Amino acid sequence: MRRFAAGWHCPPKPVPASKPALVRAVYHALYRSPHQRGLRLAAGTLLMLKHALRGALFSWPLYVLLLVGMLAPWPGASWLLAIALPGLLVSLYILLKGVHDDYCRLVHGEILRSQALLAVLRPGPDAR
Amino acid sequence: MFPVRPDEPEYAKLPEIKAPEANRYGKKIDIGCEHKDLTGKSLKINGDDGIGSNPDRYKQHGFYFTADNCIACHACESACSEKNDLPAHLAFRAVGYVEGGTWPITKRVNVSMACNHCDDPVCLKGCPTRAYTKFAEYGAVLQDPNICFGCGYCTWVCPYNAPQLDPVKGQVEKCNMCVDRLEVGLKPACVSACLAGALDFGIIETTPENRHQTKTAIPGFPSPEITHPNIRFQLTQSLPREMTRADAVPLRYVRDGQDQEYKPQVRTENREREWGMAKLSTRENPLVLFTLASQAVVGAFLALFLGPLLGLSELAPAAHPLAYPALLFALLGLETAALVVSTMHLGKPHRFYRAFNNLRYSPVSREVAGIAVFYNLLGVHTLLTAFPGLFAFLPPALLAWLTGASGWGAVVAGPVALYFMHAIYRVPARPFWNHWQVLTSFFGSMFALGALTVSLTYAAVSLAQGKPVTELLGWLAWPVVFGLALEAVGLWCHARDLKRRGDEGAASHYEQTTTFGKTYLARNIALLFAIAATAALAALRPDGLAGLALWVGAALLIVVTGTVGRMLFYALVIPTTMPGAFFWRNKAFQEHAQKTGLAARPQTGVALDAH
Repeated sequence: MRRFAAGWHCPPKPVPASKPALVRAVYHALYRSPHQRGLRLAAGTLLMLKHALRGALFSWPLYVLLLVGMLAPWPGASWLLAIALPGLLVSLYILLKGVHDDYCRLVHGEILRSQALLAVLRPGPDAR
Repeated sequence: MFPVRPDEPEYAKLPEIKAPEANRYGKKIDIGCEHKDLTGKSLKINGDDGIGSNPDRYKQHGFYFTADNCIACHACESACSEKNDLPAHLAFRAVGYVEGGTWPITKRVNVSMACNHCDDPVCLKGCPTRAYTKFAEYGAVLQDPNICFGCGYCTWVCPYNAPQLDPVKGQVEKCNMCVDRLEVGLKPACVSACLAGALDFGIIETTPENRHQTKTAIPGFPSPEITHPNIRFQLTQSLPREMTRADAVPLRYVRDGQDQEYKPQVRTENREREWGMAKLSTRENPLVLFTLASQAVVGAFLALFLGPLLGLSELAPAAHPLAYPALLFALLGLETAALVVSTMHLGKPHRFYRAFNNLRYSPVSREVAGIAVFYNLLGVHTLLTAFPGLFAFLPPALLAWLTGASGWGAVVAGPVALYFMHAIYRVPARPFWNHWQVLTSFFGSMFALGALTVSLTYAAVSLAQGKPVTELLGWLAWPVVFGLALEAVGLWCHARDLKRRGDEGAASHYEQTTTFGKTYLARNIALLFAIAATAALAALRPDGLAGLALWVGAALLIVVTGTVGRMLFYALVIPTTMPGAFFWRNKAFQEHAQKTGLAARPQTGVALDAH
């Protein structure tokens, strides 16, 4: 369990020790400021939206199945839940893992600028 | 830039040598001349913006291997692993061997092999994520593990086993030609570490010092025609007529009397016919489910959508207003399960969307796109058919058009996706798969499993409603018979063609008839019996519950036959890789290590399969 939880921690991005102590102290003070915390929260929300929308583009029939399994009056419709629920869990795992990866890469350890916040929506390193 | 030691020995430095214009395959060696726009750029190794001072930066480089000199000390492997900080279960370079003769006159040829940075890199074309790039700098084929999502397709298509799938990290990594060393005029780490002067490196088609041969073949090396690899061999010692692999692959290499080249042949060993059930289960089990389920769903939708148009009024939505949409949702659910299983098969499932990156070349990208289009159109058609009331705001004519268009779209997209699914397996590096039988098998399953799904569902519904079922079952039995017969004909021709060939495909067939002999025989008998039983049921048309029970029995037989056949398909393939050693790159040793728990010790170099 501890190993699983550790897998969700972002690897640290330390300020190089070669930088002067003042630079490092300013970085830490700025990084922990309420403004930066707010920007990180906003960036995380944007990433969540991006991944959720992209996921929905491919997997929307899964959510339809879930609704039909719960609401349809047909006999045996609840069997669809047996497929849709594990699918939903996998879909959530994929969503969270994708958001986590992007968060670690683009947000964690970075000083964000509010004007450039939408940059987190740009495609990843695979975009050519 | 890579730090050059002040006392760097001369043998570690790249020589200045004049290169010819083109290589033996007619490709220009000076890549920079052809692609001026690619020159003068930094490789950005570890974020370094510097540009190397190597004067031959834009010339295709390659390895030179003198087999006469190699003593299998594995120093090249160690140097590579140290340079790239590799775990024990991964090696970009490996040393294997073939041996021949009878005691006391025995010969052994050691071969050290890594990525050959080919002129026509099949890994690059096959990779669905476009993680591979062939650089103008040194002609290196480099792979970015940060882009890779761990499908492992490059490991299927490469004839030299160069890309390594790391089951722990869930991504592929490979030899990077030590481009950081090349930038400062040093040879790759493996070459610099070679004790015996067996391994050398330089501009391709030049002859390094102390060598006079630049052959493209050596016993055990796959055909260079597949990828035009940038490696040249020297082997002057006389060898016995037959050389045998040291690993578990039942192959030997026999010298052809005419062109004196070594050709692969099956190494028969009086093996007994076995069931081999434990070995049937492979890493590709999710693909067994994915391929069979997708083929069944495509076939079932074709039967449902085209059936009424072909006169099967019993299949029309109006005939079963409840069962029709329910079955469509069930098909959607089955395809969802198949997609979930196949996505979780990836090393990094959360990067699934990168599968669409290489539609231009990769059959994997095309298959994924085809299945995605089919799945979405099936979803739209199902929604419009099941709940037209939800779309009451649309004009009725438009609603009808959308329903028809999505259905016809899915009818086209499904078989196209299955065609691309088959194309994935037509790779020269896997001769057992590289046969048209894959196409007959996939389309055969589509017809058989699809028609079976629809006929049994409707039969159960009709029986519950007290309606006769014999006519519908009778009609739908013929696509089942056709699909099974298509599969049987393909399998017969496949076995016949494999027996005629002497390559890895024939070795796979030998495994098929020995290690899995009883399973193979039982599957073939079951397939023939299923064809006969289904044809008999179609002709005799038994009615009532007893008739349905007979149909269910036949269906179970068909599903089990199809599943076992598909598991054999994945378990039997033998790639055209270089020979391994007794403990290294040897499937039998890996199986032994995983079975006995030896693999739990990292130093064994065998990773427990985590994915």
